[in-house]
Amino acid sequence: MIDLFFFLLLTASLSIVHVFVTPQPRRTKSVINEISRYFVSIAGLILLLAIIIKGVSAVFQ
Amino acid sequence: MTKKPHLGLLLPAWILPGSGHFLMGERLKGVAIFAVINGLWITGALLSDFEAISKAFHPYLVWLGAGCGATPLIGILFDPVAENLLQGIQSVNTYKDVGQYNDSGVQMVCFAGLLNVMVLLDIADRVIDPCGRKESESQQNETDGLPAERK
Repeated sequence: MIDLFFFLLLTASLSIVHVFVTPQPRRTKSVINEISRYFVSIAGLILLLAIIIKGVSAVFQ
Repeated sequence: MTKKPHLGLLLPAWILPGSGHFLMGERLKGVAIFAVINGLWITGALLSDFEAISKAFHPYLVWLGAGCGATPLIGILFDPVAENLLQGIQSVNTYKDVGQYNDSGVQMVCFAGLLNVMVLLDIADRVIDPCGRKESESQQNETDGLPAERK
């Protein structure tokens, strides 16, 4: 569980710094919305990848 | 008040993450970057008993953390893990009390260093290619319905 916390902490840090240092040509939403959107998408994608890899490894065991 | 970015800001931004943006006049951004990167760095250093910033314990990973200036400065000047260093067979027999979250701490320091590299690149980009920034800002103003000069 603590590993998941560390993972989410690092992902949140990456989201915050990424949104602040990336020039956005068209910023239509607030910064907090953008950070949340980036955080959910990157954490979701990595977790999805982890589930797929777990599934594949379970199949081949 | 926004000051003109210059390459001299890279040094304070490297030593103290967030200070570059703060000195450029982007105070909110600077404070956010300061809190995030320094928070990660301090947490990681404490979790790993300062081994994350030691060249003796992590001769290669320490360079990832060197994106934050505190890593080489504190690691070289003060060497806080010098007392933990044991030589030869003694290290195998004696040094077994590695902290439970030692690896996570090392990861955090490396991550903080890489994030600060992103911040340094952002400052360098403003100096090297300010035209690209102005174009994107004017495009953003057009979508907001404001002329470029008014913002």
